[in-house]
Amino acid sequence: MHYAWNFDFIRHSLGYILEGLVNTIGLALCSLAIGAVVGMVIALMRLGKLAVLRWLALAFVEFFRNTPPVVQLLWLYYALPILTGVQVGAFTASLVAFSLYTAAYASEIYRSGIESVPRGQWEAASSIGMLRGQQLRLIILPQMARQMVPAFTNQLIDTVKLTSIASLLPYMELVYHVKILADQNYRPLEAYTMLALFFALVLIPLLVAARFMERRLSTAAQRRARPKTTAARIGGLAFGRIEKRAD
Amino acid sequence: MSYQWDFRLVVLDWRMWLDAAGNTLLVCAAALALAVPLGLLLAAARMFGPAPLRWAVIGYVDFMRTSALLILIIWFYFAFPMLFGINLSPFMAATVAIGLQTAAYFAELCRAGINAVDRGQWEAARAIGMRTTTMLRLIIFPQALRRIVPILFSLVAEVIKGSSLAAVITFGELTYAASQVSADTYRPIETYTVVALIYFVIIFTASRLASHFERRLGFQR
Repeated sequence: MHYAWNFDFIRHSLGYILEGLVNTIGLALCSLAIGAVVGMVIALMRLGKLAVLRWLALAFVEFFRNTPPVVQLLWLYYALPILTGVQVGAFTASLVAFSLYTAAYASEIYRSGIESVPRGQWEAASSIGMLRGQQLRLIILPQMARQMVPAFTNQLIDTVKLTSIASLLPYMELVYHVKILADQNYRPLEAYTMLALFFALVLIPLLVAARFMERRLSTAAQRRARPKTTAARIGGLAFGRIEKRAD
Repeated sequence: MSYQWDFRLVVLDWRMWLDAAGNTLLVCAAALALAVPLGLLLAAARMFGPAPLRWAVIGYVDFMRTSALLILIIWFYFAFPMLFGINLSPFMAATVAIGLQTAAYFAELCRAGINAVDRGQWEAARAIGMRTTTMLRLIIFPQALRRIVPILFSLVAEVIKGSSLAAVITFGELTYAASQVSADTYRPIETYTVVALIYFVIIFTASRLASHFERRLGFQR
């Protein structure tokens, strides 16, 4: 079938598209930042001594990993104003929803980061007389970071993909703006094709970087530990990731 | 803040929820039926194919991994018909979009599972004079399968989560049903609470199966 492609309207609305892109990236980075902090708290709760906190953290992680983000987003959008009495906009609702969703996955990154460092490393560090703080700072954290830096790069990719559903609220991010352009110009083919390519264009470099870091940074012990924890570290498909941990 | 929770209207039409849950499972099953064979083909091409084919598969997999599913679903529903003159029903568009993306993940999963089989196993099979096909069938695939099956269930969980996006092209699955009920009853919080619980039960079951199989088939190294 012959179709006359016409990308003119995109050229004319570059500013509008760019504005959407800025909103997308802003939302993704804020969600990741908050998610990383909340995720740290959740991970510490899960590894802590208090059973109540461990259960709470586990419930949080299981709930957010086992329900679709769209449902979480819509629930928060309607429930936040009623439960808190504060009128929240699309941005706030999206930010809260994506931060919590990201936190659930981030906590697993921290947890597997800690678990990827063999116990012998702690023991060796303490046997040469290091204090607990020194052990953590000089021996454990550097090894954890080797695994966590690529993992968080992957998480960033997921969070950017995740922000696409904020367009349902409507939050004025890239997908939402492109949808409006597609409707105004009766050019869904060009608009959505461009959108799909655009996401890949922005995110594939990140994916390649993550893959490179995974290969270069991991310690031998972490490589050995991978196959066992593959299922635990699988992320989202639609929103998250699946890590090819076993190779 | 005192909010009067009222679930009566929301759960009144429980048959409708059952239908919607059925549709969710249906689109997931259809997507997996597309994804599994295609993923196997992609993995085989990626591992054993000639170089240009390998690059094409890498390109496909990377593109799919970085695509937001929402955009793929919208693309197949609105853009694909214009390009090829074939109208896809919401069900078909969602199946194709989810299936094609899942195939990429499944291909990576199979490849990783096969690569994870210890090199010594390949060498040992060679050393006792096995042919490549015999080696793959008797030595490599059974061990790879033990790694792949648990993760396959995690993948199923992700597919179910992804199917919620089919609501945007008006496919009558759970999330779409929720939006209808919420509009009819003016009870959005109760509606989305109910639908979240339904999803949780379905997806949590798939996740538990994943960890169950991981424990049962798992490798202790």
